[in-house]
Amino acid sequence: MAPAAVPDASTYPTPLILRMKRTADQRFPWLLAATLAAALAAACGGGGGGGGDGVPPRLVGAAFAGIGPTPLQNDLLVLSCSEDVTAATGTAVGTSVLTLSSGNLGTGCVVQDQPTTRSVRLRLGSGVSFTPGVTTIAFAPTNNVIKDTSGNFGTGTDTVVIATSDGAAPTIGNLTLNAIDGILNGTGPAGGTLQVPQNGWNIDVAYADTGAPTPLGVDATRTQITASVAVGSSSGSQPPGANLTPFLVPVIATSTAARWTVPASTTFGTGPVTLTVTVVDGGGLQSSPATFHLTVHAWTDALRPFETTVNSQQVWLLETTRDIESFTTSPITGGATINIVTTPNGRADWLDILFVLGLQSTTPIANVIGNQNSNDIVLQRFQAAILSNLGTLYTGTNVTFTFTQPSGSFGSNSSVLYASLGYSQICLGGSDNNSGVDILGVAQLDPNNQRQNNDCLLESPNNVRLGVFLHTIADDGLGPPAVSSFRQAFNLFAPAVGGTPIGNQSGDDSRLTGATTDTRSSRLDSAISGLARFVAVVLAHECGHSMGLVMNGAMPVGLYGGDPVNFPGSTDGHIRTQSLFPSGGTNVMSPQLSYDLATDSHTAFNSLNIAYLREQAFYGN
Amino acid sequence: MATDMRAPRVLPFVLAACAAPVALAQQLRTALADTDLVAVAREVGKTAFSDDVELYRLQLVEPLRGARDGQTAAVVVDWPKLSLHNRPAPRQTRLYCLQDATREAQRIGLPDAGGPYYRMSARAGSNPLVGQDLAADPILRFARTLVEAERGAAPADTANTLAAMALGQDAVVRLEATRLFAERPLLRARLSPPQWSDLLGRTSGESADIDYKIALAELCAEQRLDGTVDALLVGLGSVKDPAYARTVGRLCAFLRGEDAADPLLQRLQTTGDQPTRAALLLAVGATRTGKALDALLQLKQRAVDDAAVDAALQEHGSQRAKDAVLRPGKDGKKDGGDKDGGK
Repeated sequence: MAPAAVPDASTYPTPLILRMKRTADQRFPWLLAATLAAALAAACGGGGGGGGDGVPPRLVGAAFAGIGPTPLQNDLLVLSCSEDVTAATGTAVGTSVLTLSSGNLGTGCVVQDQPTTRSVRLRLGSGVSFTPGVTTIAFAPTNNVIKDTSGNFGTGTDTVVIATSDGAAPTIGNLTLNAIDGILNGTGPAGGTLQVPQNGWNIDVAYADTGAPTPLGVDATRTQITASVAVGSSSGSQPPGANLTPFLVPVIATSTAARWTVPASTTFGTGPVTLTVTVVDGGGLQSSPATFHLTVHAWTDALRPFETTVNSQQVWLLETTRDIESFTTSPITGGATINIVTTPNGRADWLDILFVLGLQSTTPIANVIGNQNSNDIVLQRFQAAILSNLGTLYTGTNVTFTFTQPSGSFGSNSSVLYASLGYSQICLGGSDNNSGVDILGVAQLDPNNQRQNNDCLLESPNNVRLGVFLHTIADDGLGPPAVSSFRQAFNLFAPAVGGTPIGNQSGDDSRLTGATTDTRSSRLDSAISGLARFVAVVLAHECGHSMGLVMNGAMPVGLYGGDPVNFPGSTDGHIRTQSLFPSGGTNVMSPQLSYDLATDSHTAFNSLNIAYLREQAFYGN
Repeated sequence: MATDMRAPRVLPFVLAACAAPVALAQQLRTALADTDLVAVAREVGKTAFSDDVELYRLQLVEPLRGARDGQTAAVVVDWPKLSLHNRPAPRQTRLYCLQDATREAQRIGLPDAGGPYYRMSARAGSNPLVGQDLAADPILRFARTLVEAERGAAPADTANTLAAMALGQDAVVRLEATRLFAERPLLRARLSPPQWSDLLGRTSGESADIDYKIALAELCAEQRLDGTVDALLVGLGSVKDPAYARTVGRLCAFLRGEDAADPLLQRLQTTGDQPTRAALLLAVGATRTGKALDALLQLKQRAVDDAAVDAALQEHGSQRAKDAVLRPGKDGKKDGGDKDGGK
């Protein structure tokens, strides 16, 4: 009976580099020389086919496949290696080639074939004796049969347990950095190459194992990650092709995915890099290698968004004192409009809008909690919700937001050198100067966040009014139709559309404390949190611009901004990546936002935008 | 001042026309009504006035509204270092909705003779690319209809034309027309019963274009059309999209007030499949009524780890609802509350 559950060579795809070479040879003979040179360079660098000239292959898996649980003559053993290897078919394999912790491979054990470029299949001989799941195997120091493509024979002390194969090698479904989606990581139609710093970023691998009758699953601890360049580590420089997992920090390892972080002690060399990853399942079978091309670039202060030499973090002041106008309301068919009066009224403009929306009352209820009246409590909750939302949107970044004035001042400057001040600021204001163009917010574009920005400027010969404009939000929102999400949230409170402001209805005090729970209290919660969320998303968007989002062009020139061909709906300095978000949500840096989009919990920075903000990817040269 | 700073990006922008998504034109109708100059125009040049200000020259191809006598060009003022969303696309023929920028031009110090000066509307979808056949372009037909209405076209004719557009095939135009009806009570008052019947039928039947389905649902609800709640519920049978489910809950609240969740909860009792149940529960949460909260809290007590109930409570958004999702159980897991409740 033929041995069962042995993977056939057809289930092991040829490595990409070889397939590419063959295709190029056939279709473009004049490219042969260049292609061969590139293939050789890649092979020597460890990309694609793995391996480096100075690094001998190592055993990463051993999969036994037989007609029963105990090895018998003519059963098979597949050895998986850390790089491409060769072994002549029919060559005898004995103790001079492989060392077992107990037992032997049998008399007449030979190389049967190579199911993949990284594996060798042995046909076991008579008298074979080992215990799958217990016995370990390693290359013998005298191995002269299994070698890499550079002629290095497998040696070393790495031992692996001989496992029982489940018949199918695992597969790698996705290899990327920092969980950046395919359309943004250089593998998508927009092209480009991800640029990362020398460390501080993540390698993400998604995999699957489909063996039968029961898949044994991927053993993440046996994952092989190699680079085509030398990598500095705590144990000295690792040559191209060396397994880097001992020098990476495992973050997660599940049955379907794993993540490693490149710690500060591990430093990639600068320039083009190819990462090659394979995974091994519990039965000892290894996946085909997956490769990822990236560019490693050393930080410079000009390129690094948040250099910490002077400022430990990027602080954003949410400035709330602008008082240059006041507002009235007028009914329009099906709703209301908010009129701008261009004279100050002694109250911040954004607060004026909260009065229009009924989140503030001219007759607040006193002493709702301690000496705080109903207006105080609503404001406190509103501001806390803005900060909370911003904290969530900027999770994992070195950016914080505050309503409290830090030390220092911009004076009349539109921006100052990054290291010369401890914060940037953006104004939470009233109107956009009645420009008629209906702007939610405007900020300065600051590539690579090279400066601290003053997004509180009023109009001047050099710029339009900057900030986030609550008037636009509210004026648009209070218009028809009455069924809109915004109107549904504020009809109950905004006097201009028949509502009663918070604090003007009996029982609002206990609603604010939570003692009374009814529909009005639910709507009250929703109105405060909804507006805070919308404002926070617009703030996140505008502050994002002033920290370098979203530079036009493919990585590493930019962050794919201004590319409506590959990212429909994008505009200059913005990117819309709707396919990456569940229905209802959108990228924070999309050129258009609405109350519905902003309040959807799925709305967030896209994976490349947040990687940039986390300093795990950056643009420029 | 005469330096042409245009980047060679003609080809990508031309290609963009083929990929224009439907959701972009959501506020074209507003820009058409609010801005000072509406015209089909082509960008023919860009100059830098200063480090901070650029001027785009537009050649007017077909002025629709607001053009001065004999006006053949317009100059768009832009601040390239600021995060303005809409900028003229090089060499493309587009519909432009422009706001007078005389005030800004004076502030900047632009010469009067160089104008007239405008800013681009920031409204989403207010600068669509148009086809070569201007007469047949569906977006321009929509724009012309609104312009003619403003000039005094018979309201009934306008309503009929827009109704046909609202029920038509062009994804951008039908969305704009549907939303326009929802925003204009006087205009929708001109719609006939058969037209309303068609719109209601499309509300329940549309299953591919979610934004359009939501717009239709809002229109029918705004009109308080008989059968709207039923149509919304029928729609949930084929479309489980969370955005639509939220809309159903919100519109039920608009139409039924505190009793909004009743028809949803009734439907829930006869619903077996999990996706429809989850959509119905989300709609219940989206009503944000006290009754809905009570019902969801009861369900939470019966099934502590029911993700659909948790999502509905999150959607409800009240503090009690959030607390119910987050409250840890005795074993440290999240718990909805009373262990004995509902047993």
